[in-house]
Amino acid sequence: MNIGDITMRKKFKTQVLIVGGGVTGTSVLRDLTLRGIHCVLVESKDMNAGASGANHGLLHSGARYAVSDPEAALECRIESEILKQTLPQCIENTGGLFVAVKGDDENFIADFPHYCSKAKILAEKISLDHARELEPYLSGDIIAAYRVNDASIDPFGLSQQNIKNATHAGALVFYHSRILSFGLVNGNIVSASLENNLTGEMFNIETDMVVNAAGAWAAQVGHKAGVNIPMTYSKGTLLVTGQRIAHRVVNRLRPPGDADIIVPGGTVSILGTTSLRISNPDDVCPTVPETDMIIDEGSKLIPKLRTERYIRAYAGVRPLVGKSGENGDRVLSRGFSLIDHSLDGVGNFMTITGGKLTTCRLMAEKTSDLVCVHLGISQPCRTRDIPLEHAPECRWTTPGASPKHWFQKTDSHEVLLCECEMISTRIIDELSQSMTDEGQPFSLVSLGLRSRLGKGPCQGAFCVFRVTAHLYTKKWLNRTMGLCHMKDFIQSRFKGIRTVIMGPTLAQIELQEAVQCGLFNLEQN
Amino acid sequence: MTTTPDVACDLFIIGEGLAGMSSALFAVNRGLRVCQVGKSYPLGFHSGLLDLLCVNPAQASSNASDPWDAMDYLKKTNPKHPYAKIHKQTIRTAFHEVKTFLAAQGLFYEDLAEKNSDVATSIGTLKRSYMIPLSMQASVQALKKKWPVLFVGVNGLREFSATQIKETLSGTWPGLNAVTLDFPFSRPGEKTCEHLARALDSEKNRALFANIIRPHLNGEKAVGLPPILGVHHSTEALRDMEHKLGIPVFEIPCLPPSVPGLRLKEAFEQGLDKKGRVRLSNFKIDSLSRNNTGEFFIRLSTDCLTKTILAKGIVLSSGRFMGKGLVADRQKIKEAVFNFPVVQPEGRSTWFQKLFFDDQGHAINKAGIETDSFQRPINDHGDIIFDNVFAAGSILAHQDWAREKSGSGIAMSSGLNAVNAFIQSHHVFQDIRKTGTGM
Ligand SMILES: Cc1cc2nc3c(=O)[nH]c(=O)nc-3n(C[C@H](O)[C@H](O)[C@H](O)COP(=O)(O)OP(=O)(O)OC[C@H]3O[C@@H](n4cnc5c(N)ncnc54)[C@H](O)[C@@H]3O)c2cc1C
Repeated sequence: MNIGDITMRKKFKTQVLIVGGGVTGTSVLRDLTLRGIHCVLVESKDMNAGASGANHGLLHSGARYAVSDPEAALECRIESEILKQTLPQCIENTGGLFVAVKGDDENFIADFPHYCSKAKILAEKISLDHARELEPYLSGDIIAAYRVNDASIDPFGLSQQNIKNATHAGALVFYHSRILSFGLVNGNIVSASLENNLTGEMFNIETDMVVNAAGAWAAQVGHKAGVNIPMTYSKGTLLVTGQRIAHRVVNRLRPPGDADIIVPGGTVSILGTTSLRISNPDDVCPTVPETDMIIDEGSKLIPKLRTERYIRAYAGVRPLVGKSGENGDRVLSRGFSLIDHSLDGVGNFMTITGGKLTTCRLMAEKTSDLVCVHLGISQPCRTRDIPLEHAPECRWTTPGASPKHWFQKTDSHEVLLCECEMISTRIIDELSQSMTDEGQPFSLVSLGLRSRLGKGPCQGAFCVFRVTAHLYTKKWLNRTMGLCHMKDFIQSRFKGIRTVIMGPTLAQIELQEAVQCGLFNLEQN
Repeated sequence: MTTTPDVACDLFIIGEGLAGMSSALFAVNRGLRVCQVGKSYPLGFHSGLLDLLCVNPAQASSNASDPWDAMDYLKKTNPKHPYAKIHKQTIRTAFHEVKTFLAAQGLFYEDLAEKNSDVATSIGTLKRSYMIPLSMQASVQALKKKWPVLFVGVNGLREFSATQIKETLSGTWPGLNAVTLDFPFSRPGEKTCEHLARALDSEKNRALFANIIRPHLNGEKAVGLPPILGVHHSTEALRDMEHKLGIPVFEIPCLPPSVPGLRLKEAFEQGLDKKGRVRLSNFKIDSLSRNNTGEFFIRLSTDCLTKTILAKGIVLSSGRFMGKGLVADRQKIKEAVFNFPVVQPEGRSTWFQKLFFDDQGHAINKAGIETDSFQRPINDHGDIIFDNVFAAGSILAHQDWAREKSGSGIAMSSGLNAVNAFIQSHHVFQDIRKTGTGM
């Protein structure tokens, strides 16, 4: 690189540079911004590209950890209550059940209500008949049932609103931007140099502090600052059913294990998860044996799951900080780690990783408190009380929002582009405008992250063409751009459905291939 | 088997896709009594282009302009491919006979010097095919000669963007223009190609449509439209639009449900009815048994009706998963009617590649029924299972039609091969002579 390059580069200056655009990073962004601190968030892929876009979406009441990890359980109880107040637009307050089936550990069942009450977590014993009345698909083999306050939460809406609220107040967000290196002076990070993965453009950010919220990739980011964070990883796979199986969150009443939670997500249910130790957090995808195991195990709780149609499978990575304990990964993974790297010789660098979606606000609060100490700023946390303002363009990831809009629409020229999820031309236009306003690179995949595009039963096989056609007619796309966008989008959906293509789904894939290869010849373009 | 059947026929054909329809045609043309059962709407998904062969997945990047050369190579590299078992002459006859039949129904097709031709699709890609419907023939010329073209879209027709076609092709094809218009006298909101096509069956509507297109013409030499030029009077609609606009007009193939496919479906249905085929649409097969002379006794039903059929032979053209000819659970693929052995990959883990658009295609696509060179299904030892049951169309193993662009050709030529094989088997010969209904 020559000097000319450096002077040509764009430069930004901020107080806090946050690395990682998952629920943790975006929550820190919002928290610090509310305290009047200027922040820049950089994300190497797109919003919620890591664990935040690959989880159950369960807002834990805490009951699940009451026995194994009382401290985390208490955090979950308090945090879920706060989020229900401050973010109601992204939460479906479904309630939940804990249900044991024949053969499950009797001692655990007996201890469960006791531990819950210690953490003031509601766990109300109900009769087996009542449980089956609430959830008719429950197995005939259930032996105990408790009602709890679990709920389902839309993590995309959460991150998007964190970002909108913060950027309205002056924060900056760069997607598809990778940290190449940190500039260190006297044991402090003074700058970061970055590259935009899509355009190749390089730029610099000068900063007073760096918060590493890169989730499972925290060690990689730490490494760039010369800090060693010992980490291991646990992969979890989840399946999405074609229709909603249960009204409530249904948990298996046993120590956390494989395939023991079913969470409703709008018109579908999400079944999982697994825990598999892996050595590299990149490019995880579900496998056929994993999906088979989840189906077999899940159907012990709800037998209908054995013959259900699955529309998608996906996998996320839990970061485990430190050496693995003896109780297995699930136990280790729940608490969060906030590491102040002054002790490692980098004075203004900290890492926040682990934890849960449910506790992301708390994680952000603790992190921001520590940032304030370093910066010598005494501003209290305000995210407990201030509701996340409901930015209109952030509502489209939440199940049910698009259909509601469609039935209330007033413009007769508006047409549906995706019938499964009822996404109309107006929604696509609004999101395209919003991304363009933010200067975000535009693609079908990123539209999909900000809406429910491709998430319904057809997984986008048809609407991808309608949306692309619309984007061209409205001039959001030009030249041959659409071809790459369509192929990327189709592949991103295929990755999800590949391991659950069986039974009737084969017909859908056959039609998809008939159109996409047989007619459009996309594989050769 | 003492019950008297409701219908006695020579050939019982299972399936109403292109393989079933063309088998029925070849059979009635040869004087056979045909009974056909089917329940889906497969031709409604057909693009209207009759492919023969463009790509040999063994050399993935090639895109042959001469399908017959490509076929020689295919036979060498994939000797189990359905085409490897069918004489070229049979394939030619099949195309010719279907073309002649469709022309008699007013639907005109042409192969251009026995070569493949390219047409532009609604997403701006090029699709190579063999026998081109009249409504798309100007598209081949326009592309070849790089005529300036005006693409016309319709507001509310969600699967078609004139701008998209223009933008995507402009890099290699100068002089393109695009406009999106309100369809005359229609309410705002969603439109489908089929609705527009039915409207354009009428001359009055065509005049209105031509009137709103005309002001946008600016020296272009052709107009490209979505596939909306009529259903029942498509030839007339095309010629009339060309007359009204004064330049060639063509249709651009588009997402299904497809109007060119619908035209095929209607042409086959009407033409075959005239030729005396017995059609049992929407019946499902309840049971099927074979008597000691080898004839099949078949029970069929709908929700309120039952029918029994005695057939001397059967063509199994029930398609793949969409047609429900093949069904699969979590690990295994089965054939739905006879439970014939299905050639298939090891288990679900190997069904699909990691990348959807992988050059090699997915292993599951080559799963299917293996036959001898008379289209008779064979078992693992290579022995034929019944001497009077024949498999045709996409249910056949060792082909990947969507990648090869060979679907229509395999359907029609295996159908003809099956009918020929049936006739050669002596059961029928005698019968044809007796009743004297030969061609
Ligand atoms: C299978 C599974 C199921 C789960 N279910 C639940 C649940 O039901 N309820 C619950 O409360 N919690 C659940 N969790 C936990 C929850 O998903 C995570 O705690 C949470 O999403 C973590 O968010 P994060 O922002 O810390 O990490 P991530 O979401 O992983 O974000 C890290 C981000 O950093 C980016 N990044 C990485 N490297 C760089 C770099 N060099 N430069 C810039 N950016 C970078 C990544 O692209 C990524 O977007 C689950 C987790 C898993 C894996």
